Amino acid sequence: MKLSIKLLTIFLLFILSNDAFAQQKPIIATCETGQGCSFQLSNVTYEEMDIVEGTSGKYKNMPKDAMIVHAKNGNGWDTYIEEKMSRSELDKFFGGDGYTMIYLFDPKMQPLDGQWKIDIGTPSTTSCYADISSTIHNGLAGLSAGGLITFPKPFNVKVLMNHHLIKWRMISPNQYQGVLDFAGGPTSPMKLVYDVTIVNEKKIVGLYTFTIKVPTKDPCISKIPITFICVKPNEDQKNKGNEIDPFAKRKTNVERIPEEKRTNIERIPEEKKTNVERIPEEKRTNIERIPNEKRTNVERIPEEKRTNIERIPNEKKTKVERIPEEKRTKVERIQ
Amino acid sequence: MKKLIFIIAFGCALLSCTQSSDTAAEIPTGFKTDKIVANATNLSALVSKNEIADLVGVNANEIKLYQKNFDDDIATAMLLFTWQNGNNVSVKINGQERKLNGSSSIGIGRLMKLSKAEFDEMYRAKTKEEIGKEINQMVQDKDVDTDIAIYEAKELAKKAKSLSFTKLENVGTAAYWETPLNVLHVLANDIAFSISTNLQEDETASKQKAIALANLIFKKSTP
Repeated sequence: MKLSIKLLTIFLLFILSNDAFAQQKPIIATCETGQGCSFQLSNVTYEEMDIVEGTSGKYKNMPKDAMIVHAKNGNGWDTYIEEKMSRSELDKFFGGDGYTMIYLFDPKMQPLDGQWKIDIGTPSTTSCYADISSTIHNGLAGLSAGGLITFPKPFNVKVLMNHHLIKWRMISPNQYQGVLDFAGGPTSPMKLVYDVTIVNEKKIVGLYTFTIKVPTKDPCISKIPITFICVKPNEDQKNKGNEIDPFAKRKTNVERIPEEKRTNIERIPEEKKTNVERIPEEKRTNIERIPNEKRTNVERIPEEKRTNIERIPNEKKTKVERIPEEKRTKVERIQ
Repeated sequence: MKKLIFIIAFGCALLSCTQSSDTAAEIPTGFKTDKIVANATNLSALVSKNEIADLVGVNANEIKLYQKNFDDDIATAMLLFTWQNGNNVSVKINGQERKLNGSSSIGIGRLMKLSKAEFDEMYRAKTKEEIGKEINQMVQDKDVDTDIAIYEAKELAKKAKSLSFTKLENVGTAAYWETPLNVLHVLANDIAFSISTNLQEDETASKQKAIALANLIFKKSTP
């Protein structure tokens, strides 16, 4: 039995190590001492990682079973490539239980849904020949999402600036960088870099850095900070964890309880349904009824003072001549 | 002399019949799953830091709680009681060695409502054909990202070499001990839960602590 499993494993590993089955994207592990690790699939390929980080083949040439590890170090993160340990071993190494799963996202990062307030900070510029800051500043309000935000689950940083030309990458588990080359390539005369840090589930800070290059002049760099604060999270998220039926999600696998076994709870007899004593008809209210004669203090206007408007005498009522009966209509009635 | 032999034989028989609480955790009379179910999303109400401290022999103040719940699903969630074990571990970052504090943990979670047949099916040893079928399904599943499917299939193939589930007698309604992760899977009436161990001890000692914790949970759930 053990030999068969060994042979099967060797066969499967051989098949899966074939080029046709080679992974295109690396696994990123986010680890913290005492909490183990969470694992996610990178959203960029090995080659793209080298491009965005400016490394020559560091990721392209890493073993395909190795992982990029972000290990928490105080308030920051250390990043290294783990080549030897399996996912379970790495999780246990950081104090976890050894159970692991790969997610398409970082499962630990999920800002709250609700009302978010945006604060666009004061721009700072260097070597700029024109006041581009205020133009950009005004334009940003429209670019950044704000107000009532429902974040995609799992969280996707694109929600903060969704543009098909922006290339997003994860720098560390709570830091992302979006790059928009207006003309493409490193020689692009205009570039936007958007750095985003998820401080916690209620606060996200960002920094826009615009660079404009003009020949014979120093590059114009404008930096604009932006802060997202969750001012009112949605109510349902606060109540998370107080589910009435904790197995609700797994209900499909739960066998139905036969009708006769459904409940042991004794039915409350009709006469015991409530302990609240009925208020006798005569005690229902202490509010004194207002006697008919005291209902209003508004003095009645005497008949003679009611109006000063002169009545139109009967004879003056109209001067409109009556249309004689024979001239009244020639219109035929529609059937 | 005969008397002495009788006493020794009786003593031995008595010892062999009595199950140690390290190897047995039978469900007490009157046990109810209500308390476990009621605290399914708040397992720290079921077992306290002090009780874990007594079990693993560390100071309760050194223990931290970590709720591992990435899917918002109690069937995969674990509550970890973690503490620094005093050992230094190291990782290499850009060629330089960085020292980290080693951590240990004991966890409870992965709650499921299962019949005994479903529980046995979940943790019984799988045949090579079944493992092959599982890997094949994973790779061919169009709903799963191709890269994830390949990584998971490789992990499963690797695990198959060492993964084993040993059925334990006298623990709950049914129980299995999983290695090399050192996890105890217990069924108590119709509720299944798991106890994970990441201790600086051998497998036997880890198993004993997991069984002792199962025993504690049973006792606390018996009015």
